[in-house]
Amino acid sequence: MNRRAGAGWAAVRAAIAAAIVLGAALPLYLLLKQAITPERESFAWPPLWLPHRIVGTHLHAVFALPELRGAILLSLGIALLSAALATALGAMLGYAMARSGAGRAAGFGALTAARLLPMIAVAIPLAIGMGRVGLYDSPSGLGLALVHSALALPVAALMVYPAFAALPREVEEAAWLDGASPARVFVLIDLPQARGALAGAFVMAFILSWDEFGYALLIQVTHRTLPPLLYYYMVFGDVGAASALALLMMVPAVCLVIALGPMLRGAMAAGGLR
Amino acid sequence: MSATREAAAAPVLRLRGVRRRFASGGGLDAIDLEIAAGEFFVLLGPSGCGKSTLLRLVAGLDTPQSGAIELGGRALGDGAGGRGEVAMVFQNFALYPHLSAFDNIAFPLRLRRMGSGEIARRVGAAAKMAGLDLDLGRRPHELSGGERQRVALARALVREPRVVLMDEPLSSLDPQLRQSLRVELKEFHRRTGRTFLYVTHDQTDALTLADRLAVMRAGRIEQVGTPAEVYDRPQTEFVARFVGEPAMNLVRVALAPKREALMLGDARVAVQPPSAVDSDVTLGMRPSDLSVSVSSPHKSPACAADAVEIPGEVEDAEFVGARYLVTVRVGASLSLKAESAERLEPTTPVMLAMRRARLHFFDPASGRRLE
Repeated sequence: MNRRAGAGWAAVRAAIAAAIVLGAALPLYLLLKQAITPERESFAWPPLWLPHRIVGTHLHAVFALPELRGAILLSLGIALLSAALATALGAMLGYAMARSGAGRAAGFGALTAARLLPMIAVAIPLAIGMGRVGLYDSPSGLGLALVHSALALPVAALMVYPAFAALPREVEEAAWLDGASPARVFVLIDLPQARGALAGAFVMAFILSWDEFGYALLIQVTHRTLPPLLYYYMVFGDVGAASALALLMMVPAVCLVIALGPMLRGAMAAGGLR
Repeated sequence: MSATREAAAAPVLRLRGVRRRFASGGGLDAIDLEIAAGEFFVLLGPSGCGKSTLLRLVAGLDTPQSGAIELGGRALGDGAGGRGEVAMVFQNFALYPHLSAFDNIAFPLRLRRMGSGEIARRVGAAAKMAGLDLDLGRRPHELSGGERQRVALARALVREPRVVLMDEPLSSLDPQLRQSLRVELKEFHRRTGRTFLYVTHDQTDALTLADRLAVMRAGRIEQVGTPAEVYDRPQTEFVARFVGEPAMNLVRVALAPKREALMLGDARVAVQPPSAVDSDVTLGMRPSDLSVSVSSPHKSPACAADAVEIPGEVEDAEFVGARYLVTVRVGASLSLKAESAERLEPTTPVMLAMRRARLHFFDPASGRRLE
């Protein structure tokens, strides 16, 4: 009886999961289709669900683009730097939130307050400020990397905070008694135990920067990152090339998730065991 | 006893007037304690009595509000002081989950920047001392409870501390494993010759492991002594009730008008009470000291000169393994527990007998022992 009910639930859960996966996969499928079919098929009415003719012209056009190489390198550099910064700072903030009541209050307060400001109200003064210190539209993208790490910091902190909160204090005390300074306890004992959450925070911060459009548009005016580049394609109406570029943009994020997958899964398994 | 007293002349650990109160209520008050080098010293008490607080103060994980703790003659909290001299085995062992057994044990040595040859040698020696006979490349989650305990012991030992602190290291294990690890721990102490300070709420742990123990209650030490001293001459009613299994019978009794006997309910027991008593006294009798015999109306059982007798009636007999724990009703409102080799049916009239010297008297007001 109970077993039957359990099987029924499993079926419902599977159906819901399938619907979610389908919902997420459908736009990806359309993107792929647009990237490899002639433009006519993308705008056909009634819509064509299956590709009729496969062409490489859009991908060609994207790869032929002179700005592409620079934009990829710039986006990659900014995303890696900002993700590293956000993860490092987020780990410290998350740890403070997990270990002290004052840290928790301050952390949540600051993270919420930061979200209250509309982006555009922050972006313009920020761009002016960046100009003063020579980071506006810099070829290295350092200014935008700092902005992105600030954006990702709350996400990173909130992702690692529960992982630190779940760590038993006795293990830290044991390390302290073994002769480790508080900083070493954090680096040698706490960080390795939270590595799954740290990997998750890094992936989230990376994707957040990789995708980020608004600040990138305002700060990297001539040295463009990929999202604004994509936007120009859309504006100029080359849907096929835009789709091909969007497809290309998915590659690093997917690679990162696959590379860090074992760690992410490990963190989930560890959480389940505790 | 005199040997431990002499050793106490040069204590490795000395606490004087140590006080640590918490806002929430618990804590410690005015703790004075001296622990000799090489002693296995146990802090025994119910949860919340402050025994773990005391351990954390000695470890340096917490600081006293007043009083002084000296370790090897130096005050704790003076510079780097205590941390290097004490090691701790935590209740859940607190192993580093991301490190192998070897790296767990080597951790304190690596922090001291020791060479890898020396590390390997010392980890091997500590593992052997702790009875670790396994692949040290395994992680804590791949080890059994007993193996984790041994890794924790080896880690505590590897940096050769003066004092090894243990916070209920056996409490999370199943009874069988607990029994065998208890034996192992005693053996381990003998081999290492180091000072152990061990916290537990389990009296079996305390009585079997300790050279000396302190019984604690509500932030104070009730009694310090060898297991035999604490068991045979409990200094307070609390100690009498807390130490010993099954628990001691403690009954409030009145004096007979001419002070020549005690009134246990309706029964008159021919015992001279301690001189300090004027009306009531708390009488303590261990169930194991009370022998039960079925009384017959014909003959009065031969009564040894140094024995007391209490007539009663069996209320219940509970099988507790090797023996029965018998509840005997004495008079209208009183019942006593006694141990018996045979099963006795309820309502059987019985005679309880006990040696006078084994009786304990306590002042009903203060709970202190009376002689």
